[in-house]
Amino acid sequence: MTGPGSYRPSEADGADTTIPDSELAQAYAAARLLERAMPADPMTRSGDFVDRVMAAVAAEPTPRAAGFLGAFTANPGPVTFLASIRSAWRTAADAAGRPVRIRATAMAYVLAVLVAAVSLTGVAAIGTAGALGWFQRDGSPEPSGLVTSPVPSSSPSDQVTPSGSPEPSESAEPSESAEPSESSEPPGSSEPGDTPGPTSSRAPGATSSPEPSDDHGESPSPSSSDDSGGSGSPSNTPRPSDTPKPSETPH
Amino acid sequence: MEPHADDAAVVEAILAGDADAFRTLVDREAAAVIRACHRILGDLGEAEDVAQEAFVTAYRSLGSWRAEGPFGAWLSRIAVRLAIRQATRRRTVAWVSPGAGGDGSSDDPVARLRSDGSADPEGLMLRGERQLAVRNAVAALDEPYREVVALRFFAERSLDEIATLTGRPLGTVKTHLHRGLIRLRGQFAEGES
Repeated sequence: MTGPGSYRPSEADGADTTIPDSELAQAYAAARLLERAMPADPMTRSGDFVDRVMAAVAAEPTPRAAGFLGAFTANPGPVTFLASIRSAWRTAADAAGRPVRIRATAMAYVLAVLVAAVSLTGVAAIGTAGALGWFQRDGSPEPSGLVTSPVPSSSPSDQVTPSGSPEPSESAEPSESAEPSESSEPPGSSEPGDTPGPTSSRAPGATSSPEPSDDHGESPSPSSSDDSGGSGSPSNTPRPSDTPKPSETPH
Repeated sequence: MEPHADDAAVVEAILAGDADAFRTLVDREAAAVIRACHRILGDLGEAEDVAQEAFVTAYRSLGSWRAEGPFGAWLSRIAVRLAIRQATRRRTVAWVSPGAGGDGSSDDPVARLRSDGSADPEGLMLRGERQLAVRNAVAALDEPYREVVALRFFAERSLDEIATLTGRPLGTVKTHLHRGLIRLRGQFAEGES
C-alpha cells in the first residue's frame, strides 16, 4: 500500500469549512517545509528487531477480546457474566476519555440486566408467596362451618394442603390462585366442575368465590390437571372425603 | 485476500492463543513503524525502542482492534503517539561534543563529517537544527491537529485512513489538517524571524 505522497492543496477540498486561497497557499508552504525537514529514512533496521519484539511479547499474557462483553463472549459463564456487568458499569461511569456512544451502550447493558433481574426476582417472589399462601391470609372464604377438611388437615389455616392437592408445592402461579375455580383438582377429586380447592380446602362452597386475593394456595396448579372446567357450583364441591379413595372401600 | 481480511485472520489467531502469529504482523509493519518514529525522533536507536514499545502496546490491546481499517494504520497511530510523547519528554537541545562519538554512528553529525569529507559541516548542522525545530513545532501543536499532521506526514497515512482511525468525518479531518499546517506555518515564521 502506498502512502499519500507529497502534500497537495487539493487535499483540502471537501473540508468542513471554506478555505480561502491565501490560507491554502500558507498550508502548502508549511507542508513543503515539513516534508523537506524530515530526516532521511533509515535504510535498514536492526537485524534482530523482530526477535526483540517477539521476546517482549512472549512475556505478555494472551490478549483477549476487548469491551465489557469481551470476556463473557470468549468464555460464557456466571463468573464472566458478573465480570461483564462490573466492567460495563465501570465503562459507563468513566466520564473521562470514553465516547458517549460507548458509555451509553454500557449503561444500557447494565440497565437491561438490572431490569431482567428485578423482573425475575419479582416473579419468583410472587410465586413463592403464592405457593406459601401468603396472599390468602385472611382468606376470604373460610366458611367456618364448611370447612371440610379433607382427610389431611383440617385446620383452616392450612390453606394449602399439600397432601390433598396434586402438587401443592408446584405452583407459584399467582394468577392461578386468583381463580380458584380453575385450580388444580386433586386427582381423585372427581367432580370436575368444582371447586377450586383441592381437597383440603375449605369450604368448597365458599371457596368457589373466586376472589382474587383469595388464593387457597392450592394454586399449585398441576399444570396437567389444570382444568378450567371450572367452578361450577360451589355447592357441589366435593368433599374431600367424598373422593373415592382406593383405600376407602365402602364397607 | 484483502489486506484487512488477512490482518483480521492473523489477529483472530493471536486472540485464540497463537502468539507466534504476531510475528507476521511485526515483519510486515516494522519498517513503516520505525520510519514514522524516526521521522519524529530523529534517532534510529530511539525510534526502534519506541517502535518496539508500540508493537507491545498493540499486542496488549489487540482485542480492541475493530478491523475497520488496515492493522498498520491502527498500529501507526499508537506508534506516533508514543513517539510524540517521547519527543516532548526529552531535552530539546542535544549537545554534540566534537571529541565524543567517533563510533561512526549516522546520527552523530560529527562522525558523519569524519566519514564523509564532502559533507558541508555548516549545512549539516543547520539541517539538523531545522529538523529538530520542525519536530518540536509538530509536537507543540494542540490536539487534534497534532495527531492528524503526524499521521499524514510522519506515518504517511491517507486522509481516509486517518478519518477511520480517529472516528471523525473526512471533512473534519481535512479541516484539522489544514488548520494544523496553518499553525505550523505561523511557528516556522516566528522561528525564522
